[in-house]
Formats: sequence, C-alpha cells, structure tokens
Amino acid sequence: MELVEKRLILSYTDDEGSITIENYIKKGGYKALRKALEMRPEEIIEEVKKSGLRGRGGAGFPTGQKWSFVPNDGNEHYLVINADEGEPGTFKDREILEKAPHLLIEGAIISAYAIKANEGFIYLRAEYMDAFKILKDAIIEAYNNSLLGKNILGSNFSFDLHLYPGAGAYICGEETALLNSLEGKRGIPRLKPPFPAIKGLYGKPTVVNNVETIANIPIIINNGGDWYKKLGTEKSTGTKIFTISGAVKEPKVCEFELGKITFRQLIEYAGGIREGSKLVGVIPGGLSAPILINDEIDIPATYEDCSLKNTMLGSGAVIVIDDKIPLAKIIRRSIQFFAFESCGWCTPCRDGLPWATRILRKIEVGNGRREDLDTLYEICNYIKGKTFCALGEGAQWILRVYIEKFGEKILTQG
Amino acid sequence: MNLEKVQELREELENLKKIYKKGNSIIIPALWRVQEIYGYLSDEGLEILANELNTTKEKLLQVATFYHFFHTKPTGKYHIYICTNVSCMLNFAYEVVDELRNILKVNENEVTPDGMFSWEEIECIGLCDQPVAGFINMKRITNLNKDNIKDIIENPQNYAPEKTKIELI
Ligand SMILES: Cc1cc2nc3c(=O)[nH]c(=O)nc-3n(C[C@H](O)[C@H](O)[C@H](O)COP(=O)(O)O)c2cc1C
Ligand code: SF4
Ligand code: FES
Repeated sequence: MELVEKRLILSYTDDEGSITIENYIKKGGYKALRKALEMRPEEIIEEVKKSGLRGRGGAGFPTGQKWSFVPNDGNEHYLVINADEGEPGTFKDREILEKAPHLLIEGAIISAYAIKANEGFIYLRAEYMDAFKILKDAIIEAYNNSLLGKNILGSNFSFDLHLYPGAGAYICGEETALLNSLEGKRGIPRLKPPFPAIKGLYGKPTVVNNVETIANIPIIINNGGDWYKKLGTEKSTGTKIFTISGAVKEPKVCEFELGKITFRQLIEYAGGIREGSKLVGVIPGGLSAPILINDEIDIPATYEDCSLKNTMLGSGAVIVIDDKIPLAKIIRRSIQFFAFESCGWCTPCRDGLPWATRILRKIEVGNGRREDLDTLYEICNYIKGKTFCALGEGAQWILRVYIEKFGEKILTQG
Repeated sequence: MNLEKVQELREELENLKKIYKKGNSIIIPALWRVQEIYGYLSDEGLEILANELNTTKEKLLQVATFYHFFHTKPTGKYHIYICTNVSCMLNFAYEVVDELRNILKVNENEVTPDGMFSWEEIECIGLCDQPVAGFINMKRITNLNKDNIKDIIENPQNYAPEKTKIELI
C-alpha cells in the first residue's frame, strides 16, 4: 500500500514555502483571521474544543480546554508560543518557523483574540538562529499590513507579537521554566497549581502553546472544528507532523492523518532502515518516550496506542535505533542528556541521573555486572514520583523500560 | 575600555528596552548582545549591563550561568559545536568529535594556543535530518563526518558567519 501524507500544515512549506506574505496569501493565508474577527472569542474557543485538537508540544493536553481556563476578568492576558523544540529527535517546529512563519503568526493572532491577550511572545531557541530573521521579517510584514498592532484589520482588537531568545537549556521547554526564563530568570520550573492559565507571565493569565498547535488554528477556523474532528481517531484527531531520524536511509519530516500510519510504516516512509543493520527498536515521541520493540512498532502512531504500550507519542519525533551502535552506549547517551539538562532544583533528578550515567558508562566500556542493572532499577525507583517536574520522571521512565525490555542484553550487546 | 564596543552595546540596549519593557525580561536578550559584541560575557560588558539595568554583575551571572550558550571565558575565534545526541550519535557523531580533538589537540572548552579554535559537544539542535550536525559560531554545519570536518578546520572562514546576531523584535 502506498503511504500518502495528509499535508495540512506542511502544504504551507511546499514549493517555495510561504515565507513572504504574498506567497502566504496566495495559499489562502489570513482568511481565517478575517473570519475569526467576525466571531466572538468564546465561539473560537468552542470551535477549537470541537476539533479535539491536543497540544503538540508533548503532553497532548486538549487545547480548547486549556484556553477555557483563562478567566474572563478583563485583565491583561498573555499568549506565549513555545518554540524551544528541545526534545531530541524533533525538528517539526523548525519547518514551520523557517518555511511558514505567517501560518504561525496568523495562528497566534487568532489564539490571542480568543484568550483576550494583547501581547504575545514566541520563545525561540537560539539554536534556530536563521528563524529569528525569518520571523522578524514576517512580523514586520504583518505590522505593515495591519495584521498586528493596533486595531487589527480595522477591528477593535490589538495585539503585539515579540520574539524572545532562549540561550540553550532543554528544561526551558517546560512551560513554567519557560515563563521564568522569559522573565529574565534562571529556567527553573514553577510549582503547579497555579497553572499558567491563571497565573503565568508576570503573574498574569497566560496560555502557553506549542508552535505546531498554534499552526493548526487557522486550519481549524477555516474548515471548522467538526471537519477537523473527522480526521484521525476519536482520541487523536487531525493530523500530526512526524520527524523520522536515526538509523534510516532518508530522515525526514512528514505529516499524516493520525491513526492512519504505524511506526513500521513511518520507518518505510523514511527509506527503511539503513544498509547492513538490524532494527533494535523505535523511540516513538522524542528521547523522553520509552522505546518500542519487535511487534510493538506495528501499532498506529496515536496518543492512545502509545499510551497502551507504556510510552507516548510526545512530540512525534521517531528515532530509529539499529545495532550499529551498542545499546549500552545509546542508553548512556540518553540518560547523560537528562543529567546534563537537569535544572538542579530537586535532589532525585539532580543526583540520581549523574549516578545512573556513571554506572551506564561502566557498562558501556564492558565492565558491567548483573548487579549494576539492579542498582539502575533502584535509582529509577528513587526518582519515580519524587521529582518536581517531568524531566526527571521521564528519564527514569525510559531507563526503567530499557532495563525491562532488554535486561542483561544491555550488558552484552555490542 | 573599548569605546567602540561600549558604544555599540549601549545602542543595542536602547533598542532592547523598547521591546522588553516588563519585569527583567530584557536580561537574556541583553546577555546575548554582550556575548555577540565581546565574544563572551566580558567583565566590561557585564558592568555596563549591570549599570544600565540597575542590577549587579553577580545577579546577571546568576542568570547567565544557567544557560549553556553563555560563555564566561573567551572562546576561540571559531567556536565549534558538535551534536552528539542520539540521532547524530547513530550517525557516528563521536568519530567527528574524536577527529576534532585529534586535529586541534585541545579538550572540550579549551582554546588552541593560537586562540583560533575551541569546541564543545552539544545536545540536539533540531537538525537530526542532516546528521551529524553542529555549529561554527552559531552557524549551521551539517552532514559532518570525520573527513569533511578537516576542511572546516582548514578553512573556517568559508563556514563561519561574518557576524553572529540574533534578530529580535
Ligand atoms: C522537560 C520538558 C521539556 C519540554 N520541552 C518542550 C518543547 O521544547 N516544546 C514544547 O512545545 N513543549 C515542551 N514541553 C511541554 C510544555 O511544558 C507544554 O506542555 C507545552 O508547551 C504546551 O503546549 P501544547 O499544549 O500546545 O502542547 C516540555 C515539557 C517538559 C517537561
Ligand atoms: S525534575 Fe529535574 S529538571 Fe525537573 S525540577 Fe527537578 S531537578 Fe529540575
Ligand atoms: S540529534 Fe543531533 S541534531 Fe538532533
């Protein structure tokens, strides 16, 4: 069977993309905004709720529901777009930021209108140096066309959009750490509740959404929530952008209707596994998602199917692992990542992860013993449920699953 | 005091003040400007910043040291990052790192005696479709391997940007 993409978002990146406003308008851009400004903010939230859209940043929280938590208090509100894209293996937002900046800007304006925010920030990782210039130029074009600033398109809605630079810290993708960073502080997560929708940037109600989430908004407003909900499965509506990398012949970014494709098919779509090696497993949703092995990769790539297999769809970053690099090395490198990026706020994560990394290094150089696996498992138990944020939790989760699925093979493979 | 740099930094700060008006949001963009102008977070740059923003150098460093990109010591004229996270590692990123270490004969974050080069491993930079990926002075270098990294060291000017500046609005 031939695999056919459903390119809703990515169609805006096709051909020469839609970097300039002319190209974007040629592709139907800014129609949704005109339509949205004729609607009441509550109607937009209702439409997004109907669509079933779930946040594309990793946690998969329903977007419309998140927006409805913002109080109707007539106070200052903020929209913050999470363009930190730090989850290893993920480069989907990069496509949107660099090739379809106006899709993101249009989505931002509609979202801000819906949650009654007059100011917004795109928190953009410094790694995406080129995207700053592209977005800045696009934002200026939008201002020049009365799409940003005071009285947008003659309405009584005003909205300013800024870029904010990250400075290299994975944890700043976590929404409350991001807000601290955006306030010019160290990027340490905040205690929740209160959630950002109640008390966020500068203590004001704030919605934080991922780039891909926001890029879906113009599409939903153009076609309606009911239309969007018809795509995908009941619990995973719409399309999802996947990035496939690692041990495949042609790493790539693609967009499929959710539920219509399995992880094995995604590998095929990326040209298959590279020459002369054997598949070991697939990380389905970025490095924080536990590995799938054997027939587990025949499940559809959806939120619910991943969850049934004790992993997650996360950011949609599919990392294909083969046997050319020893498994112990891959596990060590993964845990080392979380140890390096730990913000240091809580002890189990700050102390436990470097400890696990040291043991894994010993295993990697061939000095591992059975007891080391027990110690690693103990460390997982010592972290589990005792961390302040999901970084430490995710790290112990993937390590635990590696031990459960591979056991002593970790000591000998490679 | 390097008056030219001080002048440039002051002008940049004026621009940033127009964008980031609330709280201390200006701090991280301002730290970037110091690093862009001085190559690292120099004492001189930090002192000007502290003065302009009504804070102290120590408070600025407290923020800056949280973030991996900020350097509190000078780097080489060309600072190279190589991504060794899993997708790049699967494509033999460590061979590139080993080669780099061999050619430059310095360890991670040390500067070559002539002041020309320094290097660092980096976590995923979102270029996993073009592995092995990295930066030279924050400009992308992709599809790296242990052979083509040599050319980058021999002709860095062909790869590095003239100037590194984050565009903000
Ligand atoms: C350690 C950590 C890193 C994260 N990194 C990102 C990221 O880079 N980009 C992102 O959109 N969300 C990231 N998230 C998820 C955010 O906290 C948040 O759920 C998301 O931005 C909400 O947007 P959404 O509902 O549109 O997905 C991260 C979460 C954690 C715990
Ligand atoms: S779990 Fe780790 S990253 Fe999260 S708050 Fe604790 S120390 Fe920081
Ligand atoms: S793993 Fe190297 S760029 Fe993503």
